[in-house]
Amino acid sequence: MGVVTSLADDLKNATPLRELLYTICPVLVASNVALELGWIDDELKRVGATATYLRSLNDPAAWKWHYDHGSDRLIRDGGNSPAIWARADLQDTILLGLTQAQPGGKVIVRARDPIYRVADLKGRRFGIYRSQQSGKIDHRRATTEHGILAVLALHGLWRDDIEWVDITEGDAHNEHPARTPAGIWSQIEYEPEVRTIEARALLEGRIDAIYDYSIGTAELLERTGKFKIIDDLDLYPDWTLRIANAPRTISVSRAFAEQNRDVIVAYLRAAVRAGRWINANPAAAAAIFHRTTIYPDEAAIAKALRQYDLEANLSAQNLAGLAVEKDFLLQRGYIENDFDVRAWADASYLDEAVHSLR
Amino acid sequence: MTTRLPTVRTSKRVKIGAREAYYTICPVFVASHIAVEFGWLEEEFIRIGAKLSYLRGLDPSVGWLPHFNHTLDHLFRDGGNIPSISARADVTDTLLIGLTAGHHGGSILVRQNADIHRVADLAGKKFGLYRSLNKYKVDWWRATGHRGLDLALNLAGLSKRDIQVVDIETQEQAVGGARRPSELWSDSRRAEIAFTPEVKALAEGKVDAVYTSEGRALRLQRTGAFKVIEDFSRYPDWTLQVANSPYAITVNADFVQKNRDIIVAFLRATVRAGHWANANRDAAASILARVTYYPTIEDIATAIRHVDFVPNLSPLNLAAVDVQKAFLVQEGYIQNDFAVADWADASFLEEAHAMPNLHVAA
Repeated sequence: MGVVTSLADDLKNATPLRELLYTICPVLVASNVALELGWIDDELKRVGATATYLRSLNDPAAWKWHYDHGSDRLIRDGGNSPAIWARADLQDTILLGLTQAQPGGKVIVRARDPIYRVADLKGRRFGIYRSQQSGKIDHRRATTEHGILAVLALHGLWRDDIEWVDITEGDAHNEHPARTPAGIWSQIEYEPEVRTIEARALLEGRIDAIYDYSIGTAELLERTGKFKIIDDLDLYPDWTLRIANAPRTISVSRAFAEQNRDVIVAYLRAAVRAGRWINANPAAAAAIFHRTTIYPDEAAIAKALRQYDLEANLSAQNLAGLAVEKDFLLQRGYIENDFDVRAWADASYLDEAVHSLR
Repeated sequence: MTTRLPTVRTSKRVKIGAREAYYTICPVFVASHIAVEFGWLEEEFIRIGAKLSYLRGLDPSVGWLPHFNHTLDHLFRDGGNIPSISARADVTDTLLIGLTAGHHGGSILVRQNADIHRVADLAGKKFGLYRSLNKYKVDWWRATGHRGLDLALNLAGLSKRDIQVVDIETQEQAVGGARRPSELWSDSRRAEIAFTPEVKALAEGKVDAVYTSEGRALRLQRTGAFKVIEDFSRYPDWTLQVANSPYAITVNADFVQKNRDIIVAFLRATVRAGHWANANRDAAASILARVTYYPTIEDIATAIRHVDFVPNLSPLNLAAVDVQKAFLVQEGYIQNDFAVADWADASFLEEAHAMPNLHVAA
């Protein structure tokens, strides 16, 4: 390699307008299955376009675009807080669809501690993740903070009633490039036995409780016999308690979408087809999600999938849920600028995709 | 080992052959009941030239107590873990060879017309706890209710100081003379078991609340006279579901040494029954209705929906036994502590799983 080219040069030299970059979070969204089944490639090919995974690029800065939407030809499906951050403070994007397929978080303590209720955590140490990576919104911290505040409120407690202990991680994002997301997640190394650094801190006695919003991790911790779940937001009827980094968002660079409407509709056609396929085949989909998420247990994924609608939508309830999270991020300083969630959403792309499937 | 419980070696009065064993099973949701009812246990024993008899086929004067304190040689016991832990701690050397998680930690019951709607409303009230007058066995039902009361108070932010505990003393009747568990559980006994002495005290107004198990609570509520104000199964915390459970399969340690094949045979039949129950839950409910005391088969089908009937020695189940044992030590129900990890021996289960199933072709 004699000449070092930047990504921008690469893109200029390609057939740029018809090349869509995509990125997908390791969560339960239909894009993951659409990709693995080849439907995104198929649909884009039909309109003469190609889809390239963001983290297949040989640019060490490319990973950041997953969070800040720093490419002008990027479609992103996944956790809403980076998408909200990008829209509020950084880029002009369009919200194309929402998916609410995420169990409520759980409060976990050591099994043998005499703690039976969240109220017993008053004055005790609650762990909260902190990324040392300055180039992104700390979505894991924001999600955890939102969940902990919700669970405290249910028990008549407030922020200052507990001690917040940062569980800090470098969060380097130094995985090798991979052709698809599964190739990135397969490089992640987990804490032995307990999987997360928060659970490690709990086991070692550095904190007294953690909030876990994974799928299957709480049960994995229970199976060690060393942890117990003392509360679970899914046990309450109030749906707003389950709002944090979900509903998941599909968002896209505005100018690219407006100039290449057929490419975006093609992508959404694949995602809608996949969503319907997942709804009809949760066990089969769980096997695919086990590769494309960071969730430890296929059976737990299948169980979760049976509870949810994986076909993206822009329903009034999901939009209201997204506004709940946007307001939280604004209030807690994770984003600086307010915006109108409903004005961000444009249902015409998804409508066109759904109609063309009939 | 210091023996706390005064014991009578029942074995001295029962002649047991070298290749002969006895079994006893509590009226709880475990696969060994199905292995008995289907004849699979008998089949496995016959295949290796061994004999198995039901402990409660013996006269009650010799066959009743060993169910609780393991004082019969060559005894397999499957069921509530408090007697198993007590026997291992204070009476005789046994091995723990399998566990089945319980699914429900129990409930707090009050009179239907009482102005009591949550455990917090029990402040200043009387709570009835069973007390057996029998000195020869661990008071497992009191211990279960005692832990249930402590947990309920914890969940409500109360302590023992906030309520008055009333002991309901009871002379227990020995039972026996049945060829197998389903014979022991006549319909009248099944209906009667819910009305424990402390429930009668509740009905008579002598106390304001009691602890009860799920099956009893279902039956008692349907009389219209009682209501449940706390139900531990509504909480995600697995330590709250530890209530004389996980159910333990234990066997005398000295019997094991020369009869490894008999231990494996017992577990093979139980594992086979466990797989069958997991795959045929409604059918399993109709079998289990004969050997437990839930009001209806439908109630059992609902209760066992998520039970894993294949016995195991998982870290979670072992930790749950440790939670139960810690309570028994702390509250003086047992005198001698021991390590659960040393008690458990997974090699028999592993062997039972590894041996090809002779019945697969059938």
